[in-house]
Amino acid sequence: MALGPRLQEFPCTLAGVARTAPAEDDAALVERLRAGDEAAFTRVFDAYHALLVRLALGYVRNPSIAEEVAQDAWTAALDSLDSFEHRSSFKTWIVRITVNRAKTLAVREGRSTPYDPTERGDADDAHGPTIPPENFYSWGLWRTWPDRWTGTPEDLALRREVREAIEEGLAGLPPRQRTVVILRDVEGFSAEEVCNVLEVSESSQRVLLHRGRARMRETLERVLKEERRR
Amino acid sequence: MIMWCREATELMTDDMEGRLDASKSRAFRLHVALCPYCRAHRRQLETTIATLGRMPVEPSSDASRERALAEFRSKKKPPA
Repeated sequence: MALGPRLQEFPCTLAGVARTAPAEDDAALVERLRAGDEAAFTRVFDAYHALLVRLALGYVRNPSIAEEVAQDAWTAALDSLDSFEHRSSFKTWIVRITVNRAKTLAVREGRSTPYDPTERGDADDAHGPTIPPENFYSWGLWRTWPDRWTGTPEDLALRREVREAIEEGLAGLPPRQRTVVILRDVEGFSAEEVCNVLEVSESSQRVLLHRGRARMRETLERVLKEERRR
Repeated sequence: MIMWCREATELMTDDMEGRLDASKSRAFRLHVALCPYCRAHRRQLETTIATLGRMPVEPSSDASRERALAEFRSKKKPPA
């Protein structure tokens, strides 16, 4: 398999953000994979595969195609292990391969808008207020006050209806917002790692994150309001 | 410089990411300190983020692991 530019590690240059050094065990992991250590592969597969399928699903919208994309990403990563230079973590690297493959496939199948090099992206990613203007008075003060939510995140995440609403909310986000929210807020990636995965600038990443989070806050607000009505 | 809720709510992520310049940051912090509604809104956002971080992950199926493992094993063999 040819090693296209998309498979290469993307050097993300962000002013003021130090590049993270490869984790000690990340280097060891890659060594073990190169040596054909099956236990190491099983461990890393179990740790990341579900995430890869989930990310791919944001672009291809079909669970069995998403599984294929993730499987292909493993194959591609194993094929190019020798050229992996630890410029990103292994996790960021395999996520990047997966997202690029899913994106390419989605564009080819016409399931998604093509990647926009101007970074304007999907219509939904455009600038504009994330809170409806009617929630504010014309001069900018809240007209409808935000509720005080009860329950800690731990409690919320245990409730089935909250989890279902979040899954639905994530599925309904435009692809790039979805990827950014999953990576940053669900998986705990750094801003720099997300820039690296999506090949976007830090400021674009931040806009996508803000818009995605705003929509997820609305989702949670809706489910909590419904609960209170019951 | 006076900042109102409409502007402050759109700067929540920029603030969390530490990307506001000094004067914007001052105005934002002053507003949030004085406005209980924007504090409530920010708490909602923080709760949203923290809840997302606690979402359980579905494990992969044995079939998909076996398939990947078979591929991994095949790569160990020298090319025919």
